[in-house]
Amino acid sequence: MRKAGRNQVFAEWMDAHKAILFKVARAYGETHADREDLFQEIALQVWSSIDAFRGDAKVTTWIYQIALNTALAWNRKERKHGRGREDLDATPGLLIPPPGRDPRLEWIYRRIAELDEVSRSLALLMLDGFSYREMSQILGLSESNVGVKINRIKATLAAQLAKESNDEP
Amino acid sequence: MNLDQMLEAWRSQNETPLYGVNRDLLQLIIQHEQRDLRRGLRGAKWLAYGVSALLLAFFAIFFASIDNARTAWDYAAAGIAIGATLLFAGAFSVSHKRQVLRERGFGNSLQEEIRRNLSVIDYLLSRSRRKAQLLNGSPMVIVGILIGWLIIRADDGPSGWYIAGALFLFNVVIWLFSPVWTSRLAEKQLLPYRRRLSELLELLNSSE
Repeated sequence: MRKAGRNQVFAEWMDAHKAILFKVARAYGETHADREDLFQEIALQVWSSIDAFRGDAKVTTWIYQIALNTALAWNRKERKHGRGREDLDATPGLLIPPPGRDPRLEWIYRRIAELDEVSRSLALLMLDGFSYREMSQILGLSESNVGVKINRIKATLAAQLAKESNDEP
Repeated sequence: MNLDQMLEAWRSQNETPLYGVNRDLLQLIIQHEQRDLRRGLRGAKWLAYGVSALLLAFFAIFFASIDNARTAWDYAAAGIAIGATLLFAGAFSVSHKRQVLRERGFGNSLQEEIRRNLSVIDYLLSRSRRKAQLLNGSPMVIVGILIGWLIIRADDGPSGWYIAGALFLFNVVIWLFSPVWTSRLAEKQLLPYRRRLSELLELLNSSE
C-alpha cells in the first residue's frame, strides 16, 4: 500500500478505535509517562501492520491483537530496564477524571492491574464484549483455556465487589 | 456494582478523555516547587561566593607568610589569584542574574508558572553539565595551584613540596571527578522532574 493510503487508513482506524489503545495503555502502563509511551508504541505498531491486514478478522480484533502483543512485550522490556521515573500520579489528587467520567472506571482499572499479564488482556477483551473464540485467536490460547481463565477473572471481580459492598457502611 | 454496571462503566470511557488536571492543587504545587528551586539557586550562589572567598583568604594567609623578600612573581601570582576569583564569582553572578531576568519574562498563568520552573531546571541542568563544570571551576583550580606555589615559596623544604603536591593532587582530582558525580546526581533528580512538568504542560495545553 502506498504511504498516503496507509496514512489515511491509519487516521480512520485511530479515529474509530483510539479507545482500544487508551484502554490497553491504561491497563498495562503503571505511570502516566508509561501509558503515554505505550500508547505511542502501540500506535506505531498499528501503523506498521496496516499492510499485513487482509480483512480476515474484524479491525477491532486486529487492533486489539497488536495492542495486547505490544503491551506484553513492552511490559517485559520495561520490567527489565525499569527507569524509575517520577510519576504525575505520585501527587494524590492532581490528575482527576474529567467531568462526566464514570468514577467506577478507576476501580475497574485497579482490579485489572492486580491481575497477571494474560488475565489482564482477557479482562480487557471480556469487558469489550469479545467472544471466547475471538479471545483465543487474539491471544493464541485454546478456547477452553480462555473459558477457565475468564471464569476465574469473573469470580475474582465478583469476590472483590462483594467484599467492598460488605465493607461499605 | 454488579457485572452489568461494570460493563456500563467500562463503555462510558469510549467518549471521554483519560484525565483532567486539578488546577488549584497544581498551582500550589508549582509555587511550592518554585520556592524550593529558588532556594536551591540562592544556596548554589552563596556556596560559590563562599568557596571563592575561602580560597582567597587561604591565598592571603600564605602570601603573608612568605618570610623572604617577595618577588614580582609573587605579586603576579596574587594578581592572577584575585583575577581568577573575581572571574569565578563574577561569571556565576552574571549567569544567575540572566536566569533571574529570564524567569521574570514569564507571566502568572499556570502554564507560564510551569514554563518558569522548566527554565530554572534547564538552567540548573546546563550548569551541571560536565564541560560547563570543568570550565566554570577552572579559575578555582588556578587559585589552588597558586596557593601551592605560595606554600613552596613559604617553605622550600620537602614538607612544603609534599603539602603543595597533595594540594595540587586534591585540587585536580576534585576538579576532574566531582563534575562526573554531580552531573549524574543533577540528571537523576532533575530530568524526571523536567519530564513531569512537560507532561503537565502538555495536559494543560490539550485540555484548553
